[in-house]
Amino acid sequence: MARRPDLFILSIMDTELDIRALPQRLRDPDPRVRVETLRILAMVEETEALRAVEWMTARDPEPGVREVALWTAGILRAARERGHSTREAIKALYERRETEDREEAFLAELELSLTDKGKNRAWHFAVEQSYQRQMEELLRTPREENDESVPALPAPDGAAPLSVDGPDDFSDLLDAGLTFLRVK
Amino acid sequence: MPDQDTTLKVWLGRLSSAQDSATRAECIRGLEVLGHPGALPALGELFATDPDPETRLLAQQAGKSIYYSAVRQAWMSGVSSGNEQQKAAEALARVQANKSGRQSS
Repeated sequence: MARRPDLFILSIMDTELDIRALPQRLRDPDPRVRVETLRILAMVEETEALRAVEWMTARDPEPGVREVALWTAGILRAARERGHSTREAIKALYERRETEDREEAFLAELELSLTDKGKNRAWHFAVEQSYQRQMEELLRTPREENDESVPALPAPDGAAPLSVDGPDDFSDLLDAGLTFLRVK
Repeated sequence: MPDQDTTLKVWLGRLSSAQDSATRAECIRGLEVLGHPGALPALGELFATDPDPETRLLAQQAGKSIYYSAVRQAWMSGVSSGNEQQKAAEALARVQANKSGRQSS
């Protein structure tokens, strides 16, 4: 079914519909604007407009507009009777999402992040432990095998061969007051 | 990229020439996604006059979605920044209290 070309003409011409101006649009001199506004109010079940719409059912100068106002008033009354309120619907739709859900999501995310950090710390600790064990093993075993598998570097001509049998540490030399440096 | 008004006019144009309810439904969804209050008159008209009950229901759902969003934006624009700061501070305090409560348990 193709729609009549004049339909939507108001909305195509005027894309700047301000919802705060809807009450004023009910008093627009153009009856088409009043009908359009009544239809919008019925569609969104704006129960707060019920009194204004009821007023129009009795007093609008155009019989066609009064008819639409009657239809709108019926929808709004039915919505109010079943407890619908635009204000409450919007609050339920957005405020709950914004406060409780967001807060919960934020806390859950925070918790997850802390858990992840803990997991990371544990993982780093395990890696360090494993690394240390491997290092200790490497430092312990090569002493026995190294001498055979890895030949010592050849000493330069005339120099004493490098020995692995030196002092455990150099504290003995320090205790001796570094005598080998003393000028006789 | 076309601005919102142009996109709205394109969708409204398509809707006015739609031959079947499937095409109208597609246009309604497009308008709902766009979320422009300028779509409300066309959706209101569909809600009031379309012969297909499903199309009327779809138009109402889209219309409510756009209207609620517009009303909420109008509310938000009236909220002072001081109030928002107060709310943010309260939310942070609650998070802090929850966190310390969890640590002590």
